[in-house]
Amino acid sequence: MQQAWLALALCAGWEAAGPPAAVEVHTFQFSQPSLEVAAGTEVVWSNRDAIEHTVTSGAPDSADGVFAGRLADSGAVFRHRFDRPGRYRYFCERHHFMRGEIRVVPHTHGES
Amino acid sequence: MSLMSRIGSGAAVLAAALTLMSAPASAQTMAASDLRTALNTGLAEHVWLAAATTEAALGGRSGEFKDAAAALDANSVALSQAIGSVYGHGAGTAFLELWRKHIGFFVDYTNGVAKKDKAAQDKAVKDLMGYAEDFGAFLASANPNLPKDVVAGLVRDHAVGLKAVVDAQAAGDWPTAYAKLREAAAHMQMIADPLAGAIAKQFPEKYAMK
Repeated sequence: MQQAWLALALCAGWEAAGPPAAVEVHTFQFSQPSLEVAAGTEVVWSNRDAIEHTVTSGAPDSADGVFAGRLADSGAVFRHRFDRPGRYRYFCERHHFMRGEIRVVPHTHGES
Repeated sequence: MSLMSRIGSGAAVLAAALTLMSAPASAQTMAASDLRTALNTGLAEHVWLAAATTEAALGGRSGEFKDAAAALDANSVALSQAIGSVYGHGAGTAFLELWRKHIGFFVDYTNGVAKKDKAAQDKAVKDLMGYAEDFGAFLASANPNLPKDVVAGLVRDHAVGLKAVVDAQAAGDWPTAYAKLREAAAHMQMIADPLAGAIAKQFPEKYAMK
């Protein structure tokens, strides 16, 4: 019965993707400029600078609208769950030199 | 001492000090006073070179402007290397981007003055004031001994001081230009001393008090 429930959950896309991945913003840098996560993982950006930053998908000359978060001040947090494998670049709209990327790889069943 | 020889002398002191700052921490400690001297030299040099650059730009001396701007950028890189030696390469790179940004705003202001474009001048001043907040946040983030608002205020004063130099240069009022330039260069001590003190306090094992 338990196995059947698990199979149903997996088919429905409810599989656990593991704990959130963390990226800190400190001294105008993303702590992990290139981060690899499994599909389904939530990435959490937290601002440790006492100034506004953004987490905006794409590049400064070509924001792509996949995600956009505002980190208004120190302590602010932005979360985004990455369900589809791929390479997601992002930057800070206020400080274009601040860039990062999330590389999302297919989730392997049994991983947590 | 002429302006260029003063700059050359300052660059030599800064280079020597930065070499010392960049050495592995385990190999030596640097006197806190040497750190203070290095930052004072580097930041004052920034003002002298910025003024040489704006003067050349306003005078339409493009060759001199190019060389002065290159020297100014070399100073920026040296300052960023000093920050990077303390807070890591990434922080040094972020510092350099921020520092170059404020120089860009000064170029915008100088161009606005040259063209008598008040709107461009006002925008550049607004950008410089906003930049002061960013720079205050950067240093406060790197070092908890540096309050953001205090640093931002000092950087705003720096911007206002250099603006006065550019205005006097544009008016051909050389007595005022050089008086304001001396003030602007001396003001950098207001930034360099607290910065050096805060770094020495944050890393007492690396910066020895003598």
